Amino acid sequence: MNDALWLLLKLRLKAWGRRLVRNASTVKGAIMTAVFALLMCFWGFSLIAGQALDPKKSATADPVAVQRFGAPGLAMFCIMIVLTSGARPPVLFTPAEIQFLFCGPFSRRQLLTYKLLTQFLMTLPFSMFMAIVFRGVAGSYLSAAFGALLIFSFLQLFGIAVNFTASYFSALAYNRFRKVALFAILAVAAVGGAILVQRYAAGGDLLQMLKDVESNTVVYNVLTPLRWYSQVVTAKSIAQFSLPALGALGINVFLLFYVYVLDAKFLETVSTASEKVYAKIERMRRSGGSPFQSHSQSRVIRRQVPSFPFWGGVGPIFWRQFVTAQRTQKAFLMMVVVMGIGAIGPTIAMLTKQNESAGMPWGIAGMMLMMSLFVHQFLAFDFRADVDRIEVLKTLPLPAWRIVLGQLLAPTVFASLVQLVLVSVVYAVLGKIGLLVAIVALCALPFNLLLVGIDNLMFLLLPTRMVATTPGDFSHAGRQMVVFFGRMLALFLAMLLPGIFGGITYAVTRNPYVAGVVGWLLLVLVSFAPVPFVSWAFRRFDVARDTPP
Amino acid sequence: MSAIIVEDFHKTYDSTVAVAGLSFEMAPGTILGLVGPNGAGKTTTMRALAGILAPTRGRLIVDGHDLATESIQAKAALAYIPDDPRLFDQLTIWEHLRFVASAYRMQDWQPYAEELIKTFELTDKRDSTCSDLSRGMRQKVAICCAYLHHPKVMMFDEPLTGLDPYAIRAIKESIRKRAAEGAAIMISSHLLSLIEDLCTAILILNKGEKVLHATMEELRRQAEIDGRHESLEDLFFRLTKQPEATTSEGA
Repeated sequence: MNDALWLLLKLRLKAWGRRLVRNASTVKGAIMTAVFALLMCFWGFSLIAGQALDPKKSATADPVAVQRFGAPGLAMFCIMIVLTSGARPPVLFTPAEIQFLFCGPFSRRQLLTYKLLTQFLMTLPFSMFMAIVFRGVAGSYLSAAFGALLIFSFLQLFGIAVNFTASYFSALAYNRFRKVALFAILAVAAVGGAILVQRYAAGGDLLQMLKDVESNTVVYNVLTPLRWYSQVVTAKSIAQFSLPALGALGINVFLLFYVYVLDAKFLETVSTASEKVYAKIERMRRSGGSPFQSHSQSRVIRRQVPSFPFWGGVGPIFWRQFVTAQRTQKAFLMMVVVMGIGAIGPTIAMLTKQNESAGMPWGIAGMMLMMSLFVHQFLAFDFRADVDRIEVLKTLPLPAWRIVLGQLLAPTVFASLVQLVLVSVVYAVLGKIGLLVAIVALCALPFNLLLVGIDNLMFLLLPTRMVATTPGDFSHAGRQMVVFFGRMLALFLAMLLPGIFGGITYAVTRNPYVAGVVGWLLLVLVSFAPVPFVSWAFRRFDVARDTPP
Repeated sequence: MSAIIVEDFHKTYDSTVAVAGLSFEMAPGTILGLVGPNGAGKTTTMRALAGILAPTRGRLIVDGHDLATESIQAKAALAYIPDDPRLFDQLTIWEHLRFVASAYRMQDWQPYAEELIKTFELTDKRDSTCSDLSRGMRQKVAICCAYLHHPKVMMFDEPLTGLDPYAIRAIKESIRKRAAEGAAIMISSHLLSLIEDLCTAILILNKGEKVLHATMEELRRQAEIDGRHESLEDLFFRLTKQPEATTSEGA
């Protein structure tokens, strides 16, 4: 590789370390880093202690099963890479790299080597971390680390090889091929799925059926090269390690050689795609980390949301955030569907297999409300997305508390809407527990307002971009942990009041409805409690000093 | 020998034609103003000459080297400063210069680098990371990096954006000096006063096509012959005039 590229790599590594030290050198940064280090030490110690005390118990999976199903899993990743290869560039270059390297006196192969080396260096610490995760199934830490490194390198090289191969065909031909491949895979998956469901319904063992598929001679032989990777991870001796490691390394070297021989003309495609990706990341950073607000497509808006009443100034603020949220409705719907499939699907499946118990509606309602902890992270239509617009908000001729209330309403309403939709789906499928809809409808709004308020308070006190700018930024990770614990603590304290008074009312009256009403009224009262604190935090936010870089 | 030769350059994206059949040459020492309305193909032309975009058709020759076959030699002779310079955020100004010196295999570059950062008033920020710099300062760093390796061809895309009057004067003077030393300099800008003040030649593009390529001297002479007292701004509007828009409301 070119000497200048080595120098750049060295300088960037040095700069990365400098940035970490700088982030940790402020009082807040030092506290956050310490929190992160403490928790990581605690986690690491519990892992080591668990492993030392009872190695078998701490295992997460059977090593034989890992060897067996690792290869099909890796094959699935490869298929996904082939199917999605047109949607993303084979390698990503930062805008600065494009400016300095693409116009600089470097060959394509030199740039590719630089990028591959950068990716490899980033894979190293990740592999070492994953080796800890693999501890339960690994033969040793070394075999797990080496195996993880081989697997991640393989996936990266495979992705580049597929993309470079595709660039040899016309985009049209390649996309046609991908469509045909996608339909073929879907057809096979549908047939396979139907057979599995049919056998499962007839009382078959799902695991045994998967084992049968994997043991099929053709499938077994085709997957043999991929099996080497999982064998490296689970190897317990040098003899078990050597051959699969050589085989897996050989595949990686072959892919590397193949990529270099192709010498695809990637510069233009990669620069265009990388610029789009980084522009999207930049928009995400500005919009509080919400992927929904990172879309760049300009469009003509035909249906305008009518203005809300003034409501002392709350209305226009709420309207602006509401319109932004409403414009991301496609992504919003997708989230509802994904959450529906991910959370509600298994719940419905589980409940239909069991007899309905008396506590079930309360259980599901509780689960729905707990979902608030995660839902509004994606719906940051508040101060978190306005980090670059706080100075505009401060210039508005309105008291701080009204601005705050307007800011908090949009994520509250939308998060509640998601929960209501999901719980209605449960009700529509199960039919018998309509009480759920009522509970969630009544509690979701105050519960979400409380959580959104706490999150915004934490954000204004510890402002940061939701997307970390420096990989491995320990102070950012520490901050996220502090925010999470702060949120849980505040939530606990806030729920304590309605719980205690609801309980006392029930003890006195023996009437659950009266107790429920008292608890709910207190919940509504408590949900507004963060507003004055957020207003105070908003007033003290110094745009020049507190706006994160 | 021409510093830049563009022959029948075409660039298309699917059905969109960004540049169509552009041909021109630039002699060493020329300061060429590249002007045109938004979407005229100015940045595409510059990015293609910088080796970032591949031409759909045509030849691009920089300092005698064809970008398609001798890209490294061509790139070694040029510098491109985009309209929004992107730097390595965590690297200091000095480290940027160090990298550029290494990339272009320069020896004893430090005194000249010091001189550059002094000229552009960056001495105090020499060891600051670029994430802390203002837009104007980032622009200055990009210009210092571009100047460091004494390129024979320089391309500036909106070079004065975000700069203070001192920096504007420093850049204008440095551009004139470099051109006098034999560098071919291309400047893309919407500031017609800048073009009029600085450039020795002008190339006007409109919708991806060349509508005028002449030296400023030729333009003045032609205006005298035609008896027209036309400013560059008038000329620009005359050549790139859009057809009258008719709207349904107005109809």
